[in-house]
Amino acid sequence: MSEPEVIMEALHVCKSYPASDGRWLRANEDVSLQLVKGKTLGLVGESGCGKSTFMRFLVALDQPDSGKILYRGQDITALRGETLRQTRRHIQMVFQDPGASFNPKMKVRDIVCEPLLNFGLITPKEKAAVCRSLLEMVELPGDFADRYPHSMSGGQRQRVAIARALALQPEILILDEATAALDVSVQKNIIELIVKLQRERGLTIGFICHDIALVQSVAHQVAVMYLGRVVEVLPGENLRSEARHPYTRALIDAVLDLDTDPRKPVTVIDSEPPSPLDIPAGCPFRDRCGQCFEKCAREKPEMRWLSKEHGVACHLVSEEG
Amino acid sequence: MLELDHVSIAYGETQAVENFSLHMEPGEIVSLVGESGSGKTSVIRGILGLLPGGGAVTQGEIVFDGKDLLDIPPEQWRAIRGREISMIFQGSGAMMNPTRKIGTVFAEYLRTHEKLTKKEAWEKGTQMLARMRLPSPENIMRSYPFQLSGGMQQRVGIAMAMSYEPKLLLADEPTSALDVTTQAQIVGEMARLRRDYGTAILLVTHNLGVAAYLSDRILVMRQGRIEEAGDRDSILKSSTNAYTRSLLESVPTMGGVRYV
Repeated sequence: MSEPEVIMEALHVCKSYPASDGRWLRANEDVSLQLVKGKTLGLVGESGCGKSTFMRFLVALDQPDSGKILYRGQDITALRGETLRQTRRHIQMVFQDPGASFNPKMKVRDIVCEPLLNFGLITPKEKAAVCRSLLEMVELPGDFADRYPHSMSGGQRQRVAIARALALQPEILILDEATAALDVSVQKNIIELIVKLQRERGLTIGFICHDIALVQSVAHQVAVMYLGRVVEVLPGENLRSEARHPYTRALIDAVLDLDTDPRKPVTVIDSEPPSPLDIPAGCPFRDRCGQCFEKCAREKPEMRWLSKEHGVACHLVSEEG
Repeated sequence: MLELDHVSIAYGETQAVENFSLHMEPGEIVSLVGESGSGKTSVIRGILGLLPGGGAVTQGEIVFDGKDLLDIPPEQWRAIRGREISMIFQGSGAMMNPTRKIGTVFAEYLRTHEKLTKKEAWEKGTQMLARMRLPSPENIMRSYPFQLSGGMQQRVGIAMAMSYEPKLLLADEPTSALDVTTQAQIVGEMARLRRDYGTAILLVTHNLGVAAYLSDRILVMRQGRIEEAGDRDSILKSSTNAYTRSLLESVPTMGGVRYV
């Protein structure tokens, strides 16, 4: 097996937003992650854990306070103007709600061809043919070109969103809760489409999702975030059997599978995450952790790598060795 | 206790539900599952006489505790809604007035159902939150809906719905907007309602995992009709219906299919 090729890398990314009362909301704290060529990185965590904030940095929609985002060795947070615009061709995004991310007055043909026209890659005359091949790629009939967003179902719109994102043949595709608004059966179809396109085109994917069961089914590598920090990184394949961080375990336990025993009470971790305005000192998870001990209140656990692919930020794991 | 007999619901010309029958016993939990637009929400709104936008029950009977719910004068509904049948919605935050405190809304709700002074109603609301094991109920009563998290709003909604220990709780996608951890908490809470109060629950959800955990019986709906109905195990483990099987196979599970 050849050495994995890292095409995008986040190094020590931090971001805080000012809150109304002079405090700071720490959305991302020292996040370091890698996207490997042709593979999917899943990012999972509860609402407000900073996963979308982080993904916005990857597409340069926002800028971190400190830290670097390297795309093929180049720090995209430092790019401006035309160089930034040209870089965007390689990194595209699909949003959660395609109803809100389309102009309601544009036809599908104009929606999917707009990126190509922007970059002067096609002439308006070529639109019809290009649109047909893009729709074919996402398995929609060619006559959808004349439709408006409102006359399509959620699943069809999400296919159009994928067609638009892939029009420029990007290397990296970021999916932010792209299937969260869909029915399970439609979700399954979209996931199958994404996986097929990834195989055909060697796409690198960043997959944000709050459903850990879905993440483990599509991601080669999974990063678990909690209150702005990455607490565990491990291969999706071994998620259930090898997850070590108590928070990852809690997320896994909270999933209600079809074969969950209804006589067994649901295991729930305590209440809700503390406000990101008020992150506890030491380990951010200690308030909700059943195995917390004295060191957790004192020191922030550092990421410790158990193997090349599995890292955990938890004192328990460091103590056990 | 609740009997729906060949019920059809239409919005103008559009038929939303056709020929829907359901029989529920006290303390039973029944789930309606299906995709968006399959008519599941119309069914429970129809039971409570709350069909929006010109929707109406065009055929069939809905009988609750011997009362024909389709033939009740408006003033009698007040005695039934909230006291005997109550409902929780997908987002309890959205059903609360954003400009008023939780406590004010809760007290007003209680005062429409029984003769209480404002102070008594406030106290009763606080006690209710405490009984539903919400942390620091006094604080919650003094908060505005937007100050609470989605999960907390939903638990307040459940506490309000349970104020009079109704015999039947209608739950419309109560966990769909929540994180898995919060979802697990709400699901645990609903299981406890049945255990502690004997409440029957009719649950509408597209989350088959939630349905599988809570339900005694499951009804699979598709395009306004019942595609398949049966007890939990027969639907989950030995269904021969192709549509049910395809729905079940689409649910992502921890040990399930991996695409990569």
